[in-house]
Amino acid sequence: MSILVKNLSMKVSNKKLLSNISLEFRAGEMIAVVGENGAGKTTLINCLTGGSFSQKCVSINGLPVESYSLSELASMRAVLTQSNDLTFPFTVTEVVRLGLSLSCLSQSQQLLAVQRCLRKVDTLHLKNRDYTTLSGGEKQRVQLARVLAQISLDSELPRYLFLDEPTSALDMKHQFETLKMLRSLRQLNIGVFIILHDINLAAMYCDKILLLQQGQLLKMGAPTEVLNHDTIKQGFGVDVHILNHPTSHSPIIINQSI
Amino acid sequence: MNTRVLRLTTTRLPVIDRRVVQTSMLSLVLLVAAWCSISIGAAKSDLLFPIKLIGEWIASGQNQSSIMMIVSEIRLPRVILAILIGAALAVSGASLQGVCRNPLADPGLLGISSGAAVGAVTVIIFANSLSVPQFIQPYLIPIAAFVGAAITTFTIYRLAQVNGTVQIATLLLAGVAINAMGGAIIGAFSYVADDQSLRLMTFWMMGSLASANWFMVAISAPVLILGMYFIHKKRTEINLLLLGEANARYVGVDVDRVKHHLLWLNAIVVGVAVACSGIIGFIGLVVPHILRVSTGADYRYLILNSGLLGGGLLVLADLLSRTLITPAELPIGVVTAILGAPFFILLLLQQKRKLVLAL
Repeated sequence: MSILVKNLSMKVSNKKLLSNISLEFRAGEMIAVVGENGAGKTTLINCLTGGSFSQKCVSINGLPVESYSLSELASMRAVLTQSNDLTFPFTVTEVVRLGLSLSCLSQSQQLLAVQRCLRKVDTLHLKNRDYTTLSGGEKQRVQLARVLAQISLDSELPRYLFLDEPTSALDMKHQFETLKMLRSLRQLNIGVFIILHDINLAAMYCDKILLLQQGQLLKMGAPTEVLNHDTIKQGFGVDVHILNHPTSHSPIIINQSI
Repeated sequence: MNTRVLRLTTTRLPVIDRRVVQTSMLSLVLLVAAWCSISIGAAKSDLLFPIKLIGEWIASGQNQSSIMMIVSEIRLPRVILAILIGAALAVSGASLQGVCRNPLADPGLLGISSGAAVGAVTVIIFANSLSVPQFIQPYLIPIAAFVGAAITTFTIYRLAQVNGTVQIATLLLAGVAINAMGGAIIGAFSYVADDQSLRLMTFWMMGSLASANWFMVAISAPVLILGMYFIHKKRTEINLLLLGEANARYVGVDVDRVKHHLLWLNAIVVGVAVACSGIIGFIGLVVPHILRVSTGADYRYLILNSGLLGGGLLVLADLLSRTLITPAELPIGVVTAILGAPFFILLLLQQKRKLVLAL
């Protein structure tokens, strides 16, 4: 069971945002998307999830993405976008429960699911707080709990999670804990497709890394295959040293000079 | 295990209880307001009027005394219309604030009320030069107001539509433009109006329920009740729209369809309400805010509660408007603004203090 993309190209008013991308994303694997600003990372997520740039060349579990209804798609995949502002004072519990709005769980089952998801992202203690008064990082974690609630942690069906920079506002401890938690979702038959700017985190926690450059797939594979001096130079235009993590042996990338 | 179950139960029950208590309290406020409004008036006041009225209906099927005629033929339809219109304006305000993700949105902001006003004022000015059948004469202003509201909604809807999608920012800007244009037309008309028309116009623009009767209730009630019911049915979708349109789509909401439906439902509900009562400001803006501060922002409860509180407040405002300076009447829009504005400022100050403490 997977999301399959064949020759995906995307043009908006003569500007090529994505060109000729083919890839397979399986439920149960964790893929990091890296690339410079404007490389097409968010557009790629938009195409893969049947968002506003719906594409014919994307299929989910063997069927074209446009053959699913919006509610069917919502039960198979959840998307965390970069916007997490709310105008009105919802409580944290209410925000997470929004992810369950179209589900047929009873009130008490919904509350249990909400508490489980809040615990996953270490925000259970905030459950009665007004969402609008939370810090940026707390908001990001609560929104992550909402998308976790949407794809249900109890199901065994293949599901997919698309996360657009979910750790950008988190402190170091919560970055590590969040990625560790996301990695553990692979056992629940959930695929995690995550845009990250911290390549070292991507190398440490993800099964594969997908490097985008100006809308083209430069390279995709295991972190050790993708992350070398030449591809980083090509993808980001910077010279780097590649070191080895002492215990996990994943690549660590540092700047050559300051 | 036992401790865990106990803990979950204690966190769940208060939430559900609180919601039930809140809705019951608001229903009680509405009932008390309606009871008082039926009982109190310029002719005669008696808190037992509602019971006497029901007693007479059961006993003979008709009203014996002239005061009971006043209660059943004037006060009762007026109270029912006040409940319906207050509820409709508040429900409309709450839903528009959700769809536009803007706390300032209300029926007035989109220009729907303004369009209705242009329709009504046109008829008031040119009533004498129009040759219409006698039986339509009393309903000419409501009909014109509704037509004005419908034309305005159609215009802003077309202006804001891009590739089948309603752009909310354009919608709000189009509303501002329509409001300005409506203001200019009304200004121009008032310049050429004679004294009598000018007085009628001014009163209509400030709202009044004085012309309420059973016929008006019979026509407007089904439309308003159904309109509010369908808006209430969209409560979950409105909640999700608040996450932003992209996020709502990812959670499974057909965003464009929901926006189209809600916009037209609001146009119908506000068009009918304004047609019956003239322009009554503040209810649509203030009621949802009062409830957000006191009962929370969740639209699953907010729409219903807004209807109850909006109805209750308008009944009270109407009671004050017709009893404060008897035998004359204050325009109801003046009463809602005089009562609503200071209360709203108080709420804002409270909220400000809460925010300062939280930060």
